[in-house]
Amino acid sequence: MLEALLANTLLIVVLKSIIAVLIIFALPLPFTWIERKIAGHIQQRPGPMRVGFHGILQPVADGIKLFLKEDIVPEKADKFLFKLAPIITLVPYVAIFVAIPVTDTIYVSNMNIGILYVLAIGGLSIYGLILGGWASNSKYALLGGMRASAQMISYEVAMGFAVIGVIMMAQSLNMQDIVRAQDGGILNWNIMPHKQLVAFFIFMVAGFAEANRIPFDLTECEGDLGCGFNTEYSGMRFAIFALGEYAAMFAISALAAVLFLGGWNSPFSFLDFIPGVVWFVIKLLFFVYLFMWFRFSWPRYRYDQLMTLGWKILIPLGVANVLITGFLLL
Amino acid sequence: MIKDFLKTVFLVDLLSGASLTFRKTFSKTVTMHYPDKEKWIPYERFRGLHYQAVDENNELKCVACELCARICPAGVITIRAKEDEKGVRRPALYTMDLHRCAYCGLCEEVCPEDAIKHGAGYEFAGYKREDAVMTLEDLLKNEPNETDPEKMGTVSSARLIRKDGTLKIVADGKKRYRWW
Repeated sequence: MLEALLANTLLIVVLKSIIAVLIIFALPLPFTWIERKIAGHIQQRPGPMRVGFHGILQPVADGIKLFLKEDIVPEKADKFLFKLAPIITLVPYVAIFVAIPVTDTIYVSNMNIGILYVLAIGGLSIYGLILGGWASNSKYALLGGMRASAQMISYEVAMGFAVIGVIMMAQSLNMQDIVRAQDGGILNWNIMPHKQLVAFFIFMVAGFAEANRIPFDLTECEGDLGCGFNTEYSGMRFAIFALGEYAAMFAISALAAVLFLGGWNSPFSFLDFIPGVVWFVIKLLFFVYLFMWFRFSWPRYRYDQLMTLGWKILIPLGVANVLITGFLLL
Repeated sequence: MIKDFLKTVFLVDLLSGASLTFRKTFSKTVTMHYPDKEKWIPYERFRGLHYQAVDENNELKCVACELCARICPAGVITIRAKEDEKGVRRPALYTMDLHRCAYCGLCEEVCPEDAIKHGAGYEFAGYKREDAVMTLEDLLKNEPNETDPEKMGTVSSARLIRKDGTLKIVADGKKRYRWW
C-alpha cells in the first residue's frame, strides 16, 4: 500500500516535470514568430509572411534549418566545455519552473523555500555563458563571457534585494504563500505604490539584465563583439543558447507575475469566475510582450553605464526599500 | 538641471520612445509584397532587359548592321548576318551576354531602325550562367516599357509563377496604387 502510493507520487512528479520541460521546449517555436512579427510591425513592415499563413510556419523552417546545419567545433576550443556550455545555460532556467506555481493546484513542486531555490538555481546559468565564452578560444566570445559574468553577478544582488521586500510582505519564502498574501483584488498586489512598487521596478530592470535582453544585452552586443559569447556556436548548439534566452525570459516573466502581480489572482472580485490559469497566462504574456516591445524600442546601455546603474542606483535603492519596508511593517 | 534630473529618474526618454514604437505597432505597414503579390511597374524611360522590336507585319526591324555590336563598350552583342528569302539583310544570330551589360543605352541610341530597345524587365536572377545569355528568341519575348502615364511608376498586383524550374512574376494590373 505504502509502496504503491510512493511509486504513484514519484510517477506524478516525473510526469509533471516532463510536461513542464516539454512546454518550455515548445514555447520558443510560436514565440520566435511572435517576436519577429512584433519587430516587424514596430518598424512598419509585416515580418515573416511567406511560410504558411502570415509566416506562421517560419519557426518550423528555421528549426529544420538549424537541425540540418553542420555542427562546427573550433579546432582550438576546449571541446568538452564547449559542448557542455549551452546545456548549462538552458537547464537552470527550465529548473526554475519547478518552483513556480501556476495556480494553487497546478504546480510541479510546492517548496517551502521556493523563492530561495529560484534565485539560487537562476544564478547557475551564468556558468554556461562564461564557459561558452571561454571554451570557444575566441577573443569576442571571451569578452562576451566576461561581460556576462560581471553583469549577471551585479544584477543578481539587486534582484535579491527586490525579492527580500516581497518576502517581508508575505512573511514567507513559499511561492504559494507569497501569492496568497496578495489575495483580494488589484489593491493588494505587490505592484501597488503602498506595497512594493520600487521593488517591482528594481526587479524588472534586474530581470532584463538577467535575461540578457535589450537594453542590457551586452553579452551579445553584436555591434562590437561579433555575437558575444556565442560567436563560435552554430547549428543546434546555437539554438540551445537561443532556447535558454527564451526560457530565461519566461522565467523572469513568470516570477514577476507571481511576485508582483498576484499570480493566479484576478484583479477585481467580479472577474473571479475566470480560472486562475487564464490570469496567470495573461500576466505572463504581458511581461513577455514587454520584453519584446522594449527590445525593438530602446538602444543598448554602454558597459560603464550598466555597472553604474547596477551598483550606484539599483543596489542602494534596494537596500533603502528593504529598510523602509521593515520600518513600516513594525 | 532639476528638470533633466527628474527626466532621467522617471525614464521620460525611454518611455516616450516606447510609446512611439507602440503606436507604430498598430499603424499600416509600408512593405511592397514584391515577389508574391505585388510588382512595381517602371517608367517609360527605364532601361531594363532589352527586346527586339517588330514592325506592323510582325517582322523583325533589325537589319544586322552591327552598329550596336560596335558601339557597345562591354562587347555584349554578337551578330552574324544573313540574307532572307526576300533578299533583306537579317540577323542569323543575335546574342547578348547580359553578364557584361551595364544598361548604358548606347545600343538603343545608335540603332538606325529602332530595333533593339530597353524594356521593362528587371528580374535578372537565374539558376545557370546561360540564363543571362539572351538569344534572338528570348529578346523577342521580353516585354517593352509601359507607356500609359496612368500605369507608369505604380505598384500593380501580381502573381508569382513557378514553371519549368524558372520563376516569373506577372503583373496583372487588377489593383494599382502609387507607393510614394
